[in-house]
Amino acid sequence: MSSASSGSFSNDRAVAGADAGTYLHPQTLARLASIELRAKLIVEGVMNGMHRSPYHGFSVEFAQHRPYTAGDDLRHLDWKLLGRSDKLHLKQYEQETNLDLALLVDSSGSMNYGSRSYASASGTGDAASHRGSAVWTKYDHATATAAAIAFLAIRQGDRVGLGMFADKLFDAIDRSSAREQWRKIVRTLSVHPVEQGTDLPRVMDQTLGKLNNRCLIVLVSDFYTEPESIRVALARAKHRRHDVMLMQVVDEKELTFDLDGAAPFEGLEGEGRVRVDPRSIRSAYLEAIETHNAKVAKIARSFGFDYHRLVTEDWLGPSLGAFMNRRAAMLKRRSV
Amino acid sequence: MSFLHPLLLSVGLGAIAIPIAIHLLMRRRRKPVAWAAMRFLLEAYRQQQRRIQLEQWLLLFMRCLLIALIALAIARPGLEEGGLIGASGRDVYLVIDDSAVSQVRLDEGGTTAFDRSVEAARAILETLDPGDRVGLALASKPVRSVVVPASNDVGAVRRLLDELEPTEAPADLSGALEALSAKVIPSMEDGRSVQVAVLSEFRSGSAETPTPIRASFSGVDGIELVASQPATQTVEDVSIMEASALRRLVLQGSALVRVTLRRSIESSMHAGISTVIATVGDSPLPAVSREVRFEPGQREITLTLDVAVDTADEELEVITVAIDRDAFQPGNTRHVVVSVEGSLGVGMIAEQGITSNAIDEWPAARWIRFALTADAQSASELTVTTLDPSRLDRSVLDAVGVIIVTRPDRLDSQGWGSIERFASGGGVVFVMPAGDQLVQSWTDRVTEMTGGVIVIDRETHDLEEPIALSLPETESGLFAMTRSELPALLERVSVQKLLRMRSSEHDASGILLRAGEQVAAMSASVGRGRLICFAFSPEVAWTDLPVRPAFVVIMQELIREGGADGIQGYETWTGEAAVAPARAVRLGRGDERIEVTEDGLAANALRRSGVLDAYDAGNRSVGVVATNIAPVALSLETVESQAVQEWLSGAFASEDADMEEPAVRLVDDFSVTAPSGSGDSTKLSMLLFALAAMVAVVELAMARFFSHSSSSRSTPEAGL
Repeated sequence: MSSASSGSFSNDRAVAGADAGTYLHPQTLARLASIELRAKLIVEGVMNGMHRSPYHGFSVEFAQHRPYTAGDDLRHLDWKLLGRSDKLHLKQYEQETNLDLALLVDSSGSMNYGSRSYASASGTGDAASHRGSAVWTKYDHATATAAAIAFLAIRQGDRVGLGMFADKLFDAIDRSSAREQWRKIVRTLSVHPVEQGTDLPRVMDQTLGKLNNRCLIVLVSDFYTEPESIRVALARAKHRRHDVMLMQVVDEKELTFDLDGAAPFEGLEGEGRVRVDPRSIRSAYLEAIETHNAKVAKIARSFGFDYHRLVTEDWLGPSLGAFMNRRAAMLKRRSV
Repeated sequence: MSFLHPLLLSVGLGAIAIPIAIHLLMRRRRKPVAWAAMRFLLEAYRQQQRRIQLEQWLLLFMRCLLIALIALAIARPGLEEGGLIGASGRDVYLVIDDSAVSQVRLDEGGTTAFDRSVEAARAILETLDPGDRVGLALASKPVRSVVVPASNDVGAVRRLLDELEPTEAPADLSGALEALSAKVIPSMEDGRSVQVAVLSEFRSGSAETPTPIRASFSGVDGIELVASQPATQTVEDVSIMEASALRRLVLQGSALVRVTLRRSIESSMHAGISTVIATVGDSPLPAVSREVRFEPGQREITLTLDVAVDTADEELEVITVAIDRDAFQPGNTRHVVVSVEGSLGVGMIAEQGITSNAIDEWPAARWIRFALTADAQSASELTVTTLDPSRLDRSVLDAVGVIIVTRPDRLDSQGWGSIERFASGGGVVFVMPAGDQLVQSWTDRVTEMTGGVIVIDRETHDLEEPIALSLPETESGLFAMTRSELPALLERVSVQKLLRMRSSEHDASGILLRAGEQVAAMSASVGRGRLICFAFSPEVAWTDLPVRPAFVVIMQELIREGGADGIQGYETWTGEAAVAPARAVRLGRGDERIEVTEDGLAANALRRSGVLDAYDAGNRSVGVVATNIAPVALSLETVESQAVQEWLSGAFASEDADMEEPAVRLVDDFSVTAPSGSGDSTKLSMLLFALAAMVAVVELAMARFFSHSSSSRSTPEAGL
């Protein structure tokens, strides 16, 4: 793995100056040997795309005024001061670093599915990932996303914790903003998915038991569980005044069901096996999965939470952008 | 419903298993697909399960139906009478000439006339429609109605054709048509035509055109007779028309075998040489070989072979006469049976005591003994003994082959019974009146023994004046060797008195000697043997025959030829029911085995030439049967088409002169003969093919519809 990593790293350097979207595309991510490296590049890509320092922005409290100079953003102009003194001053804020972020990553059996070959995704000729998987799975996509968010948050000074779950919370890292926290998170994300199904209410109970203040809980999962259990889990988080972002990771094949030929289909969470011609049930299947996804989104919105769908073939930019917006919105609400 | 190709139907219907097998095999061979969104798949599957199963069953049914329809169409089905399309209505009877003549080779490749007839039969089968039926009869003697009445199982008839082989029996086309008509005419159905196809080359050995064919189909409507074209190809051939021993009883060291060779007309155009070879069973004696030269234009040669036989073993010998191989193999071999014996025992039932030395008082027995031992050779070959009429037990009778009864009055009822048994077992019995008695009381016994063939008066009839003895016009086989000499010898021989003797009206062939209008000597069969009855006593008081040289010739010939009747070796013609030797219950050699009926005849007619051993119930050899091909079956000359056509037309001959006989059609190529009633099966087959095409289209549409391959597939936008 070390030799492969060094080779991949040199490739990463070579493309470092390219467009941010390039880094966040699965093909690029797949070329990165480690989650750590992936996350760094993802975040740098996002920041470059924003044309703005990550240490400025909206997540700060008021510190002082300073005179306006040409080119400053008029959005930060202190209009009250202008009205009283006819002077153009901008508000300056102190950076807010005490946002608590709890990342919950689904490592249930269903996350171990992927239709895109790792070799075609990587473009380097590697036939399998460091875990031995020949496909780019939903779990790969979820961990990449989680690592990137964690990296971004820690660089913002936030305290970040992590929980890996399936039918229960089985691996967790307490929140911290320390530099080494991110490496701990990366190591934890490197575990294999388990074969169990998902029990979100139980996982949420276990998670809430570890949180003593308001947090932004980022839930990364395919949400292939009963909508009612999702509603129950989110209701408990809402009741504890936490904010939740639902990031649903799905594979393109799951959404299109574009398969030919009758074959036995076997569930990844022990649902059993059934022989079926996918063409014969395609419309019913698509209706079922779309209905389910719509329900998940509706439940999330009913609690005022964000819902984002991540398709494994898409790049991660919009997801991270959404996270940043949500973070900012939360800090703003806290400052009001 | 019947099928022209039932085998194809079976194979086609068996092919229905293919889609089922593919379905089952595909279920086993696909690897499982791991799927994360299983709950949605299961949900969709449960919703659609019944519909999917119904679709799958429907598809499977349509695929099986498709194959079944194609199989049915290929098998060319037809409907029986009253069916949807209607009856095809044709019964085709194939009469195949499988006689010896059909074995003639027509080319270097060995193709025979029989092969061509079978080929023509197959061609006819190909033109049949499923509603048609086919029958099969074989024209070698005795004719066989193999499939009569006609069957709709064409495949079975085709298989029978594959197994047919030509026989060496003569052809009996007339008999075959007669046998066919006897079964076909009563079973004819309204609306069904009958075609009889006679498949032969109609060479002179098959079509005896000089003899009118029997009018088997006279006055019957709805029967058409077609025949293959007579052969025009001449054949070069030499055949043995006859081979026979001049004496079947061989009492010397060699047998004389008379052989007649005949060339075909084509061969007789030029000179030729044939080599005749005669071999004796498995004898170590060298074979006799004779080269025969035919002059141009000469067709027939008769020669006599002196074939050495080993007299050390008294047994039956089979002499095989063969000539060079040619285009017609059946005519190249003949088998002749002879009995080799050291001497022939002759028993006499005569008067007892010393007789007078005066010649005019010599009793008949003395004259006969004198005639039989006239020279040293005869004395060594014929052993004459006097039998005691009161002690005619089996041991006594087994020692003799001939019994001469000169004093029938000495035989009591038991003695006559023994004599009858002796004759029935193959012996020869001579009976003549007792010379010194005016009334003969034994004559009824003779009439009884011969089944009424010989009827004799009891009283002696004195002739007004002597009447000369003569040979009858009908040739007797017993005088075959001396036929040319006897008339001269009998010129001055006469009888003065005799018993009036009559032959039955139906059998005059047994007369041996005549005295004017009277019968002087007569022969009749008794069981397997023979009884020869003289109407006079060979004594000077009755006739001057005993003092004439003719008496020696007559007695020697009758005893030697008659003695051959007891030979348990028989020669028979192919196609005839062979007479088996006495006590034989089975004939056989090698794998061949033929039972003998209680009548002493082979249960099955022998269709091949050759030699068969006869066995009794104890599996002991009791004689041989040699089967040869009748000369009439060896004629290979071609016959004109017109003659054949007219000859066959005789099958429709009617006593009504106004009735026109239907013409017999001669066909060159049966494969292009337009069959009447064709088209029904073609229509049905086309209908089935069209149906199959429709099913195929529906199946494709159903498969496409069920697979939802035409439904739109939404693909989420992917990309940067």
